[in-house]
Amino acid sequence: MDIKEKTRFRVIENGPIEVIGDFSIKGIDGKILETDEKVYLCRCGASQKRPFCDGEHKKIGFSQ
Amino acid sequence: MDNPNDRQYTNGEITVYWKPAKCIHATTCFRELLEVFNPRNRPWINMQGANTEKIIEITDKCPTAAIYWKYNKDLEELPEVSTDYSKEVNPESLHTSKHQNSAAAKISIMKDGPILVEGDFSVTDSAGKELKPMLMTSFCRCGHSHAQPFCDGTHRKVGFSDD
Repeated sequence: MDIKEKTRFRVIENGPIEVIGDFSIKGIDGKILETDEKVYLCRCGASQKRPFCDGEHKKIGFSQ
Repeated sequence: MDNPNDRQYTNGEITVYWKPAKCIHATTCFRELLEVFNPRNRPWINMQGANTEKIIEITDKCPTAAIYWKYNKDLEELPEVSTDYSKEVNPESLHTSKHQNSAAAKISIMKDGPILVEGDFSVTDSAGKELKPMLMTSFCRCGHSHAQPFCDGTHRKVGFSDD
């Protein structure tokens, strides 16, 4: 049995969530999305590429 | 001990239990069966809104067992204490689901709602400091939660939509 490392979620201040490791992402339609081993998930709600970040948080001044 | 916020609802055939402390706002229940699970109503669970079979189907989809159900006929045979914990989420059940999908962490993007995460994962701040260890969580995706980075259900109030 292979032992996998924990997937890491790093919450970036005023920005997205960086996800690194071995993970799967199921989209809103229930299908698994194709991803690399590192993704950035939108946290501000304004990205045009949701669930992924497209840098829009900077334009809207997301502060969290 | 039971939490004073816990509630139960019955249609005479089954009883649905509600444990708010376990809810992570995955929103599965009311997205799929608003006739029964409507957070804007009081009480928010209307057991007359659908048939028993449908209520069971949707209640079983709650990822944290914040809502769960029992047949009333079984309740009479069981001591009250044991019924409260029969469907509690435990690390073993998470372990099983992990093997069905080989990824260490399973991420689900909830329509008009948060990012649901379960499995082996850690959450840190920008600097890499771990926030708190957990087996399951939901991250805010609308930008408006007052419990950042976690979901607190505010997406409904602000009308966050994926459409």
